[in-house]
Amino acid sequence: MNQARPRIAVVGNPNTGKSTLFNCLTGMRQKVGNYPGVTVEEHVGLARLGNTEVELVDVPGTYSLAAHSPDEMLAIDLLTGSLEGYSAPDAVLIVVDASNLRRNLFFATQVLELGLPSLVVLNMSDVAQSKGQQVNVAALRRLLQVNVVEVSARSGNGLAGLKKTLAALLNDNAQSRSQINLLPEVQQAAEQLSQQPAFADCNRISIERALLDCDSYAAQRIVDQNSSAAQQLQNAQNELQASNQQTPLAALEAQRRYSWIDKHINSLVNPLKQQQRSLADRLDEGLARPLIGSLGFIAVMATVFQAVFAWAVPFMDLIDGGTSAVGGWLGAQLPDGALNSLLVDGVIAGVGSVIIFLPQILILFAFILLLEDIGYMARAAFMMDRLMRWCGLSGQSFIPMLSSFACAVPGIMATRVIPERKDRIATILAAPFMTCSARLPVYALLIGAFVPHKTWLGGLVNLPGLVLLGLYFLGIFGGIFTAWLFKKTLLRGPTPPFLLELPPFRKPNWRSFLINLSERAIIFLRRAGGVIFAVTIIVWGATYFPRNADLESQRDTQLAALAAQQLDAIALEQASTDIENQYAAAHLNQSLLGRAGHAVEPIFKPLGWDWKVAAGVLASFPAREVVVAVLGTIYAVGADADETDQTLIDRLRSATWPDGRPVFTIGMAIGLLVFYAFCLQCMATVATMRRETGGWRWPLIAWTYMTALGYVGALLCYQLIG
Amino acid sequence: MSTTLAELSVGSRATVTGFLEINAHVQRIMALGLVVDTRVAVTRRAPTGDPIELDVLGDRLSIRNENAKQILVEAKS
Repeated sequence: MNQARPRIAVVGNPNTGKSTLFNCLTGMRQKVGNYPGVTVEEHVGLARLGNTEVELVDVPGTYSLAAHSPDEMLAIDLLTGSLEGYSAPDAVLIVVDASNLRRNLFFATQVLELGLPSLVVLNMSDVAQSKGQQVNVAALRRLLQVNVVEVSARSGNGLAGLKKTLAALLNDNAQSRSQINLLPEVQQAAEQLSQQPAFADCNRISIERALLDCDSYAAQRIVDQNSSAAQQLQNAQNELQASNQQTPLAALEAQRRYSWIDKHINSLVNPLKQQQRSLADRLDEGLARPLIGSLGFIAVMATVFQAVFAWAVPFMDLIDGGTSAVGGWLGAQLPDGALNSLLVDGVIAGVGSVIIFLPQILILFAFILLLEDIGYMARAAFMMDRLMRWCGLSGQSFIPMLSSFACAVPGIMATRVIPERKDRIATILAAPFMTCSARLPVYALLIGAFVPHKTWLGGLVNLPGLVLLGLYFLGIFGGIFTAWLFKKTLLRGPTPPFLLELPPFRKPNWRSFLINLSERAIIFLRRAGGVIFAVTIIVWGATYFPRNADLESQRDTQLAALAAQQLDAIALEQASTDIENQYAAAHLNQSLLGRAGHAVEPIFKPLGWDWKVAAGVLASFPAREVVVAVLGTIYAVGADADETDQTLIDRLRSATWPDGRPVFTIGMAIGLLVFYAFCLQCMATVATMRRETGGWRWPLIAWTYMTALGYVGALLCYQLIG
Repeated sequence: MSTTLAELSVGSRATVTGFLEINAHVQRIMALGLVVDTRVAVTRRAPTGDPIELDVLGDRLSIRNENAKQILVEAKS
């Protein structure tokens, strides 16, 4: 984006409505990316203030400028302009939650001490009022020595005034720098150090953090550049501690800031007459009881899953019908040949296979965003923390795992809320085990073909349903085992702290909700769609080439001979379709994919797979749902087969080895299901893993590990059950 | 009565008197307003007994028992 525009950083604690404010100011004119070297999502957007256009940077929400990791250092680097390509902001909007003023002022004083032109945005006054508190804006302005604007980001009240004040600040920022300085001796020590040659290129702020923080990332970075800085930092810390009764400096900072805040807080907050407890408060109190809370949690999760799997069906049918219709129409318009096949079987089938999952993903995300917005997700994380810790994770891993039931791609992206890197990676490794919607077509086909339809309790319980449920549990168990295994080995480390705010239940902002939802949809379609789309075309190419003139002329001769017979229209249609399907199967046998299937058959023979199954499995490594269409082609039913196609099911049941033994024995079919439950057959997930972990190491480990697990699982099933 | 935050039952009140050690975890907790002399109440426990939720002068925040064990308090009867 253009550097000439004024840059404004938006900072604040988590849950202050900072992102809602950012969305309201910028609307859809924002760009979502990643900061270099860290796993933090970058949100930059444009906003119009009168006739000037400004660039807003949404700095990730944090409770403190203290930095123990590269991710936490990002806020300081953005505010001091130390990140390459990001100049220091021209102004800072400090979003403060009026209902949690004491805690919000801690971070606000840290940011004000940076000396940048600043404006405090007092949000959620309505929530404060419902808690019986009224913040005195004039007193807050006097205390902080910068302008304070009261807004309600949820309803949009006060935004016009905020824009006006911000525009005025950009024109004349003389009055907008606070003189607050609660740790003058630390600032002075940092100033002195910054003059030293060992601290060349270090700004005062990061030296201050290096002095103050336990396990300081700022200090580590300075020392990495010049090791002689370590001793000087240590000397300065010793001196500062000696003059403060040996108080560790991290404790000194917290005590200074909070004693200053506590001295003034009573003059800032006017108590109102105690309000009636709201319905939301009483609901929350009920949910705080262990039994009601647990039942409520189960009810919410049951509703979410019911919605994802039942409500999405009509939309998915609609999309499915739409893509088939478009494909059929286009196929009829174009002459037969490579282009026709590429567009119909490759492009349209490929695009269709992606967007078919959009309804499920949107419904799941709508629930997740809504539950997050009203404050329930924090309570779910609170309740699930102990359970998640059995496998070495924390409550914060719960939301990414839940998302992964729709699709692992947004699930992996949702791991950004997990502060600890090792926990985040363990969650990323466990997420692809959850039964995503792309596994359902495979499960439905194989269960439909090989699980007898037994029912009990008057049809309420049936065996296929139980097998499907079992596969869900298999995925959950696989994920838990994986997280536990990696946390015990490669990702060993101390249990990270768990700090979570349980915000009061509140109404969602629908505008912000819709912006977030469409953002998720676009990210899914662009990233996942791009990969699956490309790969479908490659698989198409591998099934289409090489062409074989002998087979084609053989088919044409047969069709001509058929036309010479005097058959009625239905019989003719039937016979010519059979010839076409036989031709397709013979062609596939000698296609690139068929040859690959023959080549790998020995590897998969111990699992009971012949070359056809092996070819289908190979083709589904880029995207597992492709297997249904590929098996349809291989078993000569046509590529438009779906998982409920009775012909395909019959062909699978009657498939035999050359010596006449059936291919699909019960052990082999169960093994195949287990293989699909464990295997990482999704390029989009691999690509997202690479992006989120910053390299190929973890996606390669995950892919190898999951493939090995799938292979061993299928091998055991076939060898033990037969 | 002097004890740690982890040993308080739901509904009890206390004042923070100190920390067993100052480390990065404790620094994060202190940033949220749990410093020496702060009054605190335990408002709920998860169904499994851990983590716990605290009321810190009107702010709600939840921490795990293992971190609560590092926080020394003077309980009020």
